Amino acid sequence: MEEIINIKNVSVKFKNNFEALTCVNAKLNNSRIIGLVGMNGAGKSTLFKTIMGIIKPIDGEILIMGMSPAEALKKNLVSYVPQIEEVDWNFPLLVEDLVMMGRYSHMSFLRYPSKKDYEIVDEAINFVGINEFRKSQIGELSGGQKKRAFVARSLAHRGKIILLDEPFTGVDVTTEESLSDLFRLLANAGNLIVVSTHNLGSVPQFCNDVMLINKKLLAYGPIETTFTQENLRRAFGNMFREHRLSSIINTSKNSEETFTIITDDERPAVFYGKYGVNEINKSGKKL
Amino acid sequence: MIEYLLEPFSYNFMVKAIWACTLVGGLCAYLSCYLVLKGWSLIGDALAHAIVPGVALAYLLSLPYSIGSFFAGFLAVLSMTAIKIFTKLREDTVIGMIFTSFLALGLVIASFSPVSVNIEEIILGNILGISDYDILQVIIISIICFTAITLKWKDIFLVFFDESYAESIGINIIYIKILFFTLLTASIVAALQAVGASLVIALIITPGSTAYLLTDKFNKLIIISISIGTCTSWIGSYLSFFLDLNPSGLIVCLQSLIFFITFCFSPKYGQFTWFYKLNN
Repeated sequence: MEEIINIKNVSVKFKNNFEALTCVNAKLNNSRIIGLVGMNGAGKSTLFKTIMGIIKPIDGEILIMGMSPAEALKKNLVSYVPQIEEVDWNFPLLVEDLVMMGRYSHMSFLRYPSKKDYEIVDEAINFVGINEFRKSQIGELSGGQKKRAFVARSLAHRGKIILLDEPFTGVDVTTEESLSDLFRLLANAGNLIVVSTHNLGSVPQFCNDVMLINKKLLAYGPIETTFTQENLRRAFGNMFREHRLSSIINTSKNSEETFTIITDDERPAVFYGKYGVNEINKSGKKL
Repeated sequence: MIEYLLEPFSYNFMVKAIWACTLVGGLCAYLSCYLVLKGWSLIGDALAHAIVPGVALAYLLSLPYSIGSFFAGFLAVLSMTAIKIFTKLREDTVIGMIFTSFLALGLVIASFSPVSVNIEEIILGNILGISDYDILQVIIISIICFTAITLKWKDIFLVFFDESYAESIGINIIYIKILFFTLLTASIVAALQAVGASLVIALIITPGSTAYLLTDKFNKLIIISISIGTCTSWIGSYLSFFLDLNPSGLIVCLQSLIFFITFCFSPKYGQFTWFYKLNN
């Protein structure tokens, strides 16, 4: 295992003196999928932007494979997949041209693609499985395909680190699963994947590690030990909606022990066992 | 017959008007591709009015109009950007507020002048009476703009599309935006003096929006837009000689006609095409 990002004592303050991050320390290794979990405004995007060098910390530093973020960006180590809402889908842009944008930083001043660039774009498009849509305008894709197109761009970019901002918003559970499989493939290929999300149910399903933040790093470690009810409660405070279904469990003792949770698109986090004892339903789907 | 068709070219003012219109048409069409992406089409309109205080001041201080109007235009862009960054106001509000303020300021300044300044004449321009100085200005600014945008067209597109990604691959987005707005202001100023406000405002909106309905590929959009801009400008000013019509009016009408045809029959986004496909 190789250390990719070293976040050393990083604090970020905005111009209006708002403290966005305080003393964050963490080491992120390759071949891992790391879930960055926190409420809206907890500093997830800020942490991403600091890793990309867009925001400069007032204290501490981030080292990416021993380099500063600026140097790492020059070497094309980091690639970023934006939130679906940040993108204007009406742009006259075809899927293959979007993926080609991932090659811009490898091209010269005029951004003129070489034969190799076209090959890499083909490969990336095939890898994420959107080949049949390569000539479509980006707005014609479904939610999951849109995400795939952007993931293809970061593949074409050949970043060792892929930062995904809320990849599961507006995506149904089936698509979420196939995206998770895609991220797993990428991580197995030696990449470091960092996924920010507030969709709790999906975290234990595909992440290796979880980072819980709320301006400070509250907890960081493997899912099994860190993704616990107490930690989640600390991360989400009173925003955390929790429904304990103890009565259902009690009454279902004699029957066939089936209890079902039905939800809409977003996957619920399901814990079972005695309250306070941490056991996670890793699939998060059916019980 | 051929003699009759070549008649416009025997008049020096017609030759100048035709080529000035064509050049301005192409330049504005190029810029319109970018403006239509961001819903910034009204910026062209705003800039055309926001240069008034610059013109009035330049008149009072006997400086060249183009310098005064360029600075006023650029100041207008800067104030719009600043208000956009620091407030939650929508783009149309900001544009509308700034350009009326600038226009009003211009009128106030103009009334200080002992000699009456005919601002309208300066802003509206006169294609048929275009001066050699204005033509030279248009040529130089067009060459600079065409070169600069053609060198950077992908970067500007990326910055407009996805700022955070552009930043993450080391493109300086502030530099690109300043470049774009400088080129835009310079083009509008040059074009205004050459062909007048009404034409510039139309030229900077219509070709790009027509091309937008015809293609989903940005490089094709640029080519289509520039073709529409140059062809309609050339044909419009040429025909105006025979029909004895106002050239800028005719050019804008031609462009609107092309837009209307595209709106109905564009292969992908045309309304009738869609209807036709539905019934087959």
